[in-house]
Amino acid sequence: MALGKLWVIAFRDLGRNRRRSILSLLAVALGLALLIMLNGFIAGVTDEALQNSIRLRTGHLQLRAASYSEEKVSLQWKDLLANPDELATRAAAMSEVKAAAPVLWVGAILSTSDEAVGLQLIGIEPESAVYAPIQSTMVAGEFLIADDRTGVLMGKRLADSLGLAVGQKANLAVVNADGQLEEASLTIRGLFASGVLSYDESAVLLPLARAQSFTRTDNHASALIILLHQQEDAEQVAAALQSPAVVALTWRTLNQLFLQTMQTAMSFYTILDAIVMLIVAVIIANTLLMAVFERIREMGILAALGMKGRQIMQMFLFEAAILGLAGIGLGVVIGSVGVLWLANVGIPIGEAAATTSNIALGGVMHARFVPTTFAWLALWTFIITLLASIYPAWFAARLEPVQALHGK
Amino acid sequence: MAKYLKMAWRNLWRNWRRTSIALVAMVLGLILLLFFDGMIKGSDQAIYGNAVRLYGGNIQVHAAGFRAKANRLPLYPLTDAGTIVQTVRAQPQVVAAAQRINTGGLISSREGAFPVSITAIEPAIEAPYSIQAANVTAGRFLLEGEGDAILIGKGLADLLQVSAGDRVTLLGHSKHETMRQRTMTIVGIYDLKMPELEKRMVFITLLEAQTLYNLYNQATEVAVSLQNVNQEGATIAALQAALPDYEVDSWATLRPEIRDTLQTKLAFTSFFGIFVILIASIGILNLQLMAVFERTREMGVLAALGMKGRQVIGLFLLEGTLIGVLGAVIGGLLGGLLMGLLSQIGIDFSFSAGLGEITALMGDRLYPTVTIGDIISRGLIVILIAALASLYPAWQAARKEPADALHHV
Repeated sequence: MALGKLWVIAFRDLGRNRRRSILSLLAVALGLALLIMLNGFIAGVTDEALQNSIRLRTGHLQLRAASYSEEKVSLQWKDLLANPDELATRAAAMSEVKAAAPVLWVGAILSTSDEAVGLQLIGIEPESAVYAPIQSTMVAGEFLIADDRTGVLMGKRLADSLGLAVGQKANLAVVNADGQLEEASLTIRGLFASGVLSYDESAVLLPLARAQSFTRTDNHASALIILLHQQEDAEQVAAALQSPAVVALTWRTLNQLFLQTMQTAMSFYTILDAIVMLIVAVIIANTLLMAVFERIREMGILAALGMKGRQIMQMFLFEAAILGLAGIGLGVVIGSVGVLWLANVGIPIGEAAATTSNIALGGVMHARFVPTTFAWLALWTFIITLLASIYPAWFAARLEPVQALHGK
Repeated sequence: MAKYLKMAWRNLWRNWRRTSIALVAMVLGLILLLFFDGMIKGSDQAIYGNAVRLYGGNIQVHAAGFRAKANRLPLYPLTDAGTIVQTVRAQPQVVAAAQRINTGGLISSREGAFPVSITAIEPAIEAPYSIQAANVTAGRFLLEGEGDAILIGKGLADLLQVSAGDRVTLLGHSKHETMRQRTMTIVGIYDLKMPELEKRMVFITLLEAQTLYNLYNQATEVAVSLQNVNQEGATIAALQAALPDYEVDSWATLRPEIRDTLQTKLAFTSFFGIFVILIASIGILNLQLMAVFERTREMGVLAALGMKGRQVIGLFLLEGTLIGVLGAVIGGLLGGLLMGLLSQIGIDFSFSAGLGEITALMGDRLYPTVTIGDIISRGLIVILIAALASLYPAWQAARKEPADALHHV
């Protein structure tokens, strides 16, 4: 019998019990839709947090002194870059580099009369394009200028929670490069709202020159932050700028902790994916098994007419394939609508939660379209559907014609 | 009724393959739900348990206005800490009450400066209950009233590259905006195997803090230890009534963001789990619908013998519910067993410690827990969904005309 005819029979068989076919198809569709939404959501959150982190904190590439430890936020001269401007000029000359600016990180305490907040003081070159993302989110006051000796910027959330406003003084205390306490009362020039809650609550920006004099680090810098035109060029540029005294770290290394955590979490989600697929498989197997029982006599007739076991098996596999394909089509549509909704509306995670974690997220998490992942999920769903139909198909093929004719 | 039950039960097993497959879907769904519940509850318990152990005190009493700014550790002195301690000790559940001062500061050595929260305690009272005191690995715990002495965690000691006996500089925030710098000797180092949290907490004596931070004879907190956990609610209510001018809190009310985080997760995973059960219920719907078609003649016979439509509906609903019950029982047993096993072994969560305070508080291993109540309530959801899924097939079955049904091939 021609293969084409088997397809026709399979298709007609599905139509004989339309309700059952539609329900099975719905199960496939809902399962796939759920998986698409889940994976789109995870991809969205991961990507958003990573891009936020690169944009606000790490840049694509950083040059640091070999002995610098990010954890210690060291201010000792031996751990800092001695010639940041020279490095910046060299980096900026490369065609892949969009912007390069030295930065100085200082652990500090901001205090008001009753409260004290541990935070990070960041000495920046305000005119550099590296800080354009922050400049574009200013919500009050003015952005910094390089030779401002008395001004700072902070997140609006931090200022609000401390009851501070533009024009008021912020009392800052640091331990300088010599291990001595330094205090300064600086004027709040402006407030930003980057949308990344942890950043808005824990970063205070001031001009690099002022930060250097505050901490007695002269013209040293903690790092040179480099933004690239293409994220993928990071390794190549890193290799070009590396020297024995200066290490170049790419965004991958700089966000290693986050990326690793996401990877571990992914293995957990893969288990979830598998369970959903399994349930879909069970339902498909059930539907086809029912179809086999219902048509035992028919199978007997077909077998008596000379249809081979192999062909009967093929016919059932075709039915599964049609169910699977239709279900996948519908599932992709439902899933895409869901992802679209999650991408635009998002799920709120609670501001407090976003602030206390070190992940660079706003208060709302959004999903994202990841066509490759979705295609893989669809393919897997199809494979699972076919696998689930093997038992019913084999069961049908194995029936004895005579017994089957008697409906046994 | 018993007769219906018997019929429904028999009908279920007329095609055991189909029923088993439908069961598998329900069981998987339920296990998944229980797994989510266990994870959420386990991390909830770990976080609050660790918070109580690490930060000390099941309950804290603060001056009015503290709660709103709790994460900033404002220096709002209690007007009469001594009286509060007396009042608190009068409560039956209370085993200890101690005065404290909490403030923010910077600790520094040659290696660098790190923001920390400074907890000033009364060692004489707190030592027997303090987890830090029980885990001092080098040197000793603080002594009552000693000055220039500091206890730090191993995580911080590694960062500062110091050991017991070394000197560090502690910068603390005192009342009225000024910072006080003081060189102190590390008398001891505690090790709780939670380096991320150890980095943030140092301990000095209350007396030292009172002189350093302009709080003579004052405290900002009274930390209360109870005999047992889970008694916070009643004691808080009693204390709040006795101390109307102060704020009485447990970790749950003082750090609501922890609960918020977990609740968001719970909502998310519950949604996922219910979705899975819904998919599984399509399996039941399918199964029942099939059974209706298969047994059309039988229905005709039953109807001709005088069985009412209502009764046919009842029979089919009963069959669906039975699958649900079976699924709930098997899933509940398997899920409970799995969770029981996991609650012993734990799941490695050390990878998330660096992501923030909340995940660090979960500890290295997460021990999921589910209660019998969780299993029952989730099981009931499964049964309900199974019953609902068989509603449509049951109605289909009842609506058949006896004569037509009898002629059905």
